[in-house]
Amino acid sequence: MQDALWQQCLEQLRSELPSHQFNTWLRPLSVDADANGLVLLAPNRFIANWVKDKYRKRIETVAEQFGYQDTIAIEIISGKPRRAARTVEAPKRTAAAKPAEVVTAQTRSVAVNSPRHRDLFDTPSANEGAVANQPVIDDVPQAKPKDVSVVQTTGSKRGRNKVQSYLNPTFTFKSFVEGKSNQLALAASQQVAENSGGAYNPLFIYGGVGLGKTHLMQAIGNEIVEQNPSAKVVYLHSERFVADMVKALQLNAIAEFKKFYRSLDALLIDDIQFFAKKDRSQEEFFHTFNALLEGNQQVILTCDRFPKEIDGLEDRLKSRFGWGLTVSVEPPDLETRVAILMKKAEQAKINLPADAAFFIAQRIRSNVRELEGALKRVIANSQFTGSAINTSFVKESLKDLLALQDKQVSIENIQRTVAEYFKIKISDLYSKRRSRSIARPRQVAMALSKELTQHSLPEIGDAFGGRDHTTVLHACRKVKELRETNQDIREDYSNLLRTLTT
Amino acid sequence: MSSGRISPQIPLHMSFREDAVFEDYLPGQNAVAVGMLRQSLANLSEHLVFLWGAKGCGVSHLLQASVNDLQLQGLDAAYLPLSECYDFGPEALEGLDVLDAVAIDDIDMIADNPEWAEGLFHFYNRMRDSGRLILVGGQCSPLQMTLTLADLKSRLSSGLTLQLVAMSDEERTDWVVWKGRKRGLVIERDVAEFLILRHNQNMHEMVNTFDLLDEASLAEQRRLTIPFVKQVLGW
Repeated sequence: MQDALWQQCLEQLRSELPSHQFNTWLRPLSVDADANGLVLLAPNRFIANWVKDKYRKRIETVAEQFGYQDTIAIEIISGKPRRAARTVEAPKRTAAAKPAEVVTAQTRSVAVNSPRHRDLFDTPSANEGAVANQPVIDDVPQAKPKDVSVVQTTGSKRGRNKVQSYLNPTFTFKSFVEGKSNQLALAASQQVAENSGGAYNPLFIYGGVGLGKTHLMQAIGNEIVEQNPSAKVVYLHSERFVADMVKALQLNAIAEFKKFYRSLDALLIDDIQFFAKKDRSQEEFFHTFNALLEGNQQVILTCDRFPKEIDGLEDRLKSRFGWGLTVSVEPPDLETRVAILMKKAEQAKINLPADAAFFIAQRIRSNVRELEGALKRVIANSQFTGSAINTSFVKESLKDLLALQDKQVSIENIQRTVAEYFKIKISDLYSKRRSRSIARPRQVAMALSKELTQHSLPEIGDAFGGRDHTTVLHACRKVKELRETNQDIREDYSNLLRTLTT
Repeated sequence: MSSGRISPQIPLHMSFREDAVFEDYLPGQNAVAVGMLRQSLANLSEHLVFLWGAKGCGVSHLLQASVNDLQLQGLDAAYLPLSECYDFGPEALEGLDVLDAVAIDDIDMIADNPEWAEGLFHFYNRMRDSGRLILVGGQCSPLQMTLTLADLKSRLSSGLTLQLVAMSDEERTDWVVWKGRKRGLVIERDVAEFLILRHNQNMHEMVNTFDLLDEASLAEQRRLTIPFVKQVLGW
């Protein structure tokens, strides 16, 4: 009854209000069907306050026109199922995107690949992940919008699956670009996919941002489902686990929540660093995690750091994360960056000459997302101006980005960062002192200056207390050699590179 | 856009200029950037477009023009300047992920706020994964932003990033003359230069000044001269 009334009001208000106002403030409202009278639910305090302040009178007037005489309450949603307004279709709208709560695995896939929302890199992106943003617990009746039928996962092969997997089908092992930096993680992931719930449980993948953790994790999930279409695999972002748990608590459905998560064949949780300081969620996750492990069900986790380094995470969780296999993903080396660019260009059906790819890869080092952003700019510019892509066109297209990078990674900045890292004074780097504790950091700083800036060897030598260019050359060679033979130097160099380029 | 308008007692949306259109922007040196932006909106080829440039470059105008443009395409889009909803915290974003596109302006506001950064990070993920578009505007590039959350910074770097450069003095004068002409005002170059000087080159405020000058010029049937401008604006 209220639903129908609200639909009528919405249609009227839509015709009265500028669409921007309608979209921002009224579309997100829904109706509390269980309430007596018309109670509108706003998704947050901001919208609730705004609507009360600016639109309530008008809404009441419109409702009155449709025969409603009572006052209208506007409340903030707190665990109540959202519906009604979410299903209002804009008449003009042609986009495939649908209201969040009713998006199924199938429609979601359509939305992502819809021509209206086609992304150049929708298909295999080395790093971007599909984060579950809808309730996963379809087995929990109260947490599920009533107008959604039991959801089948994407594709006929997964027809028997009764859960939404939220896996992005484009993240596969085939679409993952292998390189030295991710070889081990890739091999471990393939092992886990082949032997789910086996020796490597949990699999903990960690590393900096934009390096392919999500891709690998989802590739495992996709492979498990490929091999066993009835496997219950769920991928979700840690935020969703927390949100589901909160919702389950509010709806008094925590038993169903537990039952659901513990019934999975594989649980994939992305970015678990966001569990930090969320004690109740950690507690719940701890029990879920134990139950899954005891049942030989696979758990795969990603994080931006090594388990023991996560502040605000209980020690027992940190410890358990290390029970299985922990693998890191490092920033891609030059060859891998080139290969990633070539693959992305191929996906976008763009002709990217190897030397142009090499130029971008040489200049953008930090992570794959930045590479992707740079390539997008080049492609957009090429399409807009109708110019062919070559190295000089790339230079022109990215000149502001490259200028910023040059400014950010100066020799002074490198010296400061290296001095801080090795706990020495910056002045030591300019000094004549030749003790190992000073000379090695100095050599590392020189090698980084050569790698990260456009300065010549003599200029670098000058910046290090007026040293000769041959000293710089020797330092570069020495550091290269040490990186191949000495694990500590390799790690130090890699850490510094990451610090300086992100 | 709907032709009907709500009765006057309902206030307008916060800071959103429903008349902001691309045609009202003199691109000058930003022609390629604006072209790429319009191309991406027409093709809906990106999940994220990040516009950045110094105050007065037109970032806010272009974001609002983009929202209007998307609405003309039949998409549901909203403009959210963080400068105006910052105090509400990241919950201001809740519920907006049902829209096809959301333009978030003044991203620099959240640089030192981890709560906002995390909220925006989750919002970005939800929008991205459901094929929705985010437009972001700020005064510096993602690379320069001092965000505490590296995950957000890298995500903001993954889209189409476009820099807008400030207009030269010559372009500013051209802009004032051109903008005036579009509104039926004849503004000589010396008057334009005077207006720019008094507005401390803030083009945004200049638009409001046009309203006053337009009204006064019509009422008094006078050409815009420096003495007349001084008289109208009380300078």
